Amino acid sequence: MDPTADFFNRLLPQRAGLVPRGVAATLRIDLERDGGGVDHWLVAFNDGALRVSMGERPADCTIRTSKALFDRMATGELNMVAATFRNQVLVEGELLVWGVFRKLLPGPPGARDPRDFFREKRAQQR
Amino acid sequence: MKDLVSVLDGSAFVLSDRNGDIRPSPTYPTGLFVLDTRFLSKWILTIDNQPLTALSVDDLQYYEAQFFLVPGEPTHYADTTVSVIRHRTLGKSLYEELTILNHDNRPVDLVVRLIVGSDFADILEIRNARPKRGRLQISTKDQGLLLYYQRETWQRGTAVYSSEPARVDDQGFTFEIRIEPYGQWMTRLSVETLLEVEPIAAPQRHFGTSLLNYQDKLRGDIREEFERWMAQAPVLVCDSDSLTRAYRRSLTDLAALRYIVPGWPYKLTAAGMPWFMALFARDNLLTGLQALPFAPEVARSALWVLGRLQGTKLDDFHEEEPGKIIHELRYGESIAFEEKPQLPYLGSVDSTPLFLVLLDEYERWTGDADLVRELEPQARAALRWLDTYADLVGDGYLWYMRRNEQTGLENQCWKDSRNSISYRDGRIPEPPRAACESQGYKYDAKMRSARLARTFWQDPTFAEQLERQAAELKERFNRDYWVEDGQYYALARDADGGQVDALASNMGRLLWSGIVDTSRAADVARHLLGPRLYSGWGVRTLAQGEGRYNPIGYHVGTVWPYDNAFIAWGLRKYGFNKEANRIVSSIIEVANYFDGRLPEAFAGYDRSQTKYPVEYPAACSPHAKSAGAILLLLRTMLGLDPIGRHLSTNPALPENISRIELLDIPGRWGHVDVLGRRSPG
Repeated sequence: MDPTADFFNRLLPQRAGLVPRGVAATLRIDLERDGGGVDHWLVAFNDGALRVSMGERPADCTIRTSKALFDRMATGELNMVAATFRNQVLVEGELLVWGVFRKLLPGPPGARDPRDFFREKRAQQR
Repeated sequence: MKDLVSVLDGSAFVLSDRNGDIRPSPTYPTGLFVLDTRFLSKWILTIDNQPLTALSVDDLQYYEAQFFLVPGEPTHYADTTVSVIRHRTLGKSLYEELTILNHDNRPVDLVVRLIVGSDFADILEIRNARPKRGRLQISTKDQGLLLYYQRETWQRGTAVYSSEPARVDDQGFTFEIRIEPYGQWMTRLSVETLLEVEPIAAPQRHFGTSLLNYQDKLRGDIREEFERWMAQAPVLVCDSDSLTRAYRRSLTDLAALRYIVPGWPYKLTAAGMPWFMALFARDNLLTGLQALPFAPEVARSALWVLGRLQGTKLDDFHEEEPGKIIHELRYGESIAFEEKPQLPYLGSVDSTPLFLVLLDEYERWTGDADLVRELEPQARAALRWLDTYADLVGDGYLWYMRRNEQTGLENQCWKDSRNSISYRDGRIPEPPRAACESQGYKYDAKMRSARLARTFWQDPTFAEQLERQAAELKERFNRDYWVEDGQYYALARDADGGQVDALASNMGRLLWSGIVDTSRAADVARHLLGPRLYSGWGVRTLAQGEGRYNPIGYHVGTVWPYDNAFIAWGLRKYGFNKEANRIVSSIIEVANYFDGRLPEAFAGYDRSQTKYPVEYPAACSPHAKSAGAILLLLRTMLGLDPIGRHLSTNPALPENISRIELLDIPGRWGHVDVLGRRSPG
C-alpha cells in the first residue's frame, strides 16, 4: 500500500471537518521520489471543506519534502511540525495554510485515549 | 536577578549585568535569546584589558537601555578621563551603539576589546545543561563574526558586525583607536540572529526564512506601536499615586511582552521574563480576560490563535487529544528533536474551559459575534473534550494525568509544580487529580457556552443540555468537594473519590466561576481572609499550618498577585465588597514596593513579620498575569460588567482610594467614561 496516496485519497477527506471556518486557500505538497521525479498533490481548502487533486499548479503555500519522509508523516509515525523545525520539510508561502494542514495529519500509531491509559494504570496497580 | 538589566521585545530578550556585559551563568538565562535559543552567551567589553564599572543604567524603554561606564575597578576610577556609553536596542536585530569619550586635553590611545561567544543553548536546557549534540563553527569575514551551530539539518547562527573597522578573530573584535582631545569615537554593532546559515535547499523555501519573512512583514516600528498601544488604553485619573503608577507600568509591561508568534498573524503575550518568554495558553487566556476593558485585542488574538492550534488527534508525548486547547509552544532545539514536548505541548487541564469562558466574555464586551460564529466548531470540540477525554474517571469531573511520563507535567492546573496538590498532612495524591478550580471553570464554560449556543449558534436544544449539565455539576461539586470538618472546598479530588483536603487559595477562583452555593460563600470568604490564608499582603497559595506550607514555596505558600485579583473579583461577585477591598488595597500597596510592577509571586510571610513584601527569589518580572492583575483590580473596584449593549458599573473603592475615573473604556458601546467615588461610611 502507498501510505501517501492512502492519506490523500482516503484519510484526508475524512478529516475535512477539522478545517477551520474562513479558510480559503490552496496548498501544494511536492514529494521528491527516490529515483527522481516529483509528485504534486494539491489540496484546496474552502471554508470548512477540502478537495484533493494532483498537478503542478501555483498554490498559496507549498510544502516540499521526500516521498519517503512523507510516507511516514501520512501514517503519523513522523511528526510533520518537528520535521519542519528540523528543515526536513521546506515551506514556502502562507504559513497559515501549513498551520491548517498540520492539524489534518494523523497522530502517532499506538497513541492512547487518556481514559484507557488511566484504566491500564489502575489495573497495573492492583 | 535584581542586578541584571533586561531589554525585551516579546519573546526576544537580552539579559546582561549592569555593565552591559553578558557572562555565561549556569543557573540563569543571561544572554540574547530569540525563539527560545540563546544566540549570545558572551558579550564582554574591556578597555586596555581592564573591565569597566557601571556608573548608572537607564532603561529608557523596555526595548532599549543605556549603560554609562568608566574603565577600571570601582576603587580607582576616580581620576579617569575616559567614559563609555553603551546604548542597546532590541528590534529586528540587537543594536548596540558603543561611544567612548575622551575628557582630557590630550589625545588618548585605547585598545577596545569586545569578546563575543554563543553556546546556542536551548532555554529549556539551561538549568540542566547537557553536552550539545551538534557542531559549533566560527568564521570571520568582511568585518564580521559569524557563529554557527548545526545539528543534522537544524541550524542557528549569530552574525555580528561593526560599523567601524576592527580586527576580528574567533573570540571577538579589537579596535585600536585614538581619540582626539575632548573628542569621541563611536561604533555601531549589530547582532543578527539567523535561523539558517547555509541554505539546505532553495533558500526561500527554508522554514526559518519563511518565519523571518513572515515576522518582518508583520513587524511595525516598535516605538510607534508602543505609542499607539498606550494611546488606545483608557485613561486613569485617581487620587492614588500607587495605582496610577501601577496602571501605567502594567500597560507598558503588557506591551513589552506582546509578540508575533511565528506563523500567526496576531500578537500574543509572552508569559514572563525570563523563563516563560513563550506562548502559554492559560496565561494568554487569563491575561486576555483581565485586559478586556482596556485592550480587547489581547483576548481576540489569544482566542483566534489558540483555536487554530487546538488538538485534533491522540498523541501521548505531546498529550494531545481532539478538542483540547494547548498549554505551551516553544521553538528550541529540544523541541525540533522531540526531546521536549512543547511543539505545542497540551498538558493543561484548564486551557480548554478557559478558552470557552473567554470566548463568551469577549463577546459580551466587544459584541464581536463574527468570532463566536467562526470559532463555533472549535468551541463545540472543546465542550466535547470536557465530557470525554478529560473525564478520566467517568464521574463528570475534569481530571488530569500525564501520559508523557518523562517530560510531561505531573500537575496540569495553574499550580503546575510537583508538590502543589497535597492533603493536609502533606501527602501527594496518586494521579489522576481533579483540582477544584477546574470544576468551577467547567461549570462556567458550560453556562457561558449555553448563551453562545442560544444566541449565535441557533441551537437552543444544545443550550438547554449545557445548562442542565452545569446545574448537575454544581450540585455534585458542592456535595463532593465540601470539607465538612473545615467548612471549605477541598483543593482537589483523588481517583478514589477522596478529598485532597489541604486549605488553599484555589477555592477563591470558585467564587469567580459561580459554582459556589450562596449558602457557603461566607465560609469561603472567611477562610480566604482568615489568618491562615491571608498574610496581610495577600492570599497565600497554601494555608499556614498545612503539611506542605512554605512561605517561599512556589505554589505552596507564596502570594500570587494575579491569583489575588481573581479572588477579589470573585468576592465582589458574591457581594463581599469589604473582603474584596482588603485584597485590592493590599495588592496595590505591594505594587508600590516593586516600583509599580507586581512580580509573579512574593513570599507568604506574615505582614507583622516583614515590613515590606519579600520577593520570591526566582520570580518572573515583568509577568503578564501580574501586569493584568492591576487591570482586573480596577474592573473589580469599579464593578464593571457589560449588560446587553451597555456597561454597568457598581463602584466600591477601598479606604485608601476615594476617587477613580476611567475614561474611554472601549467596548460594544463605543467608548464610555466611568467615575467611582468612595461612598462615605
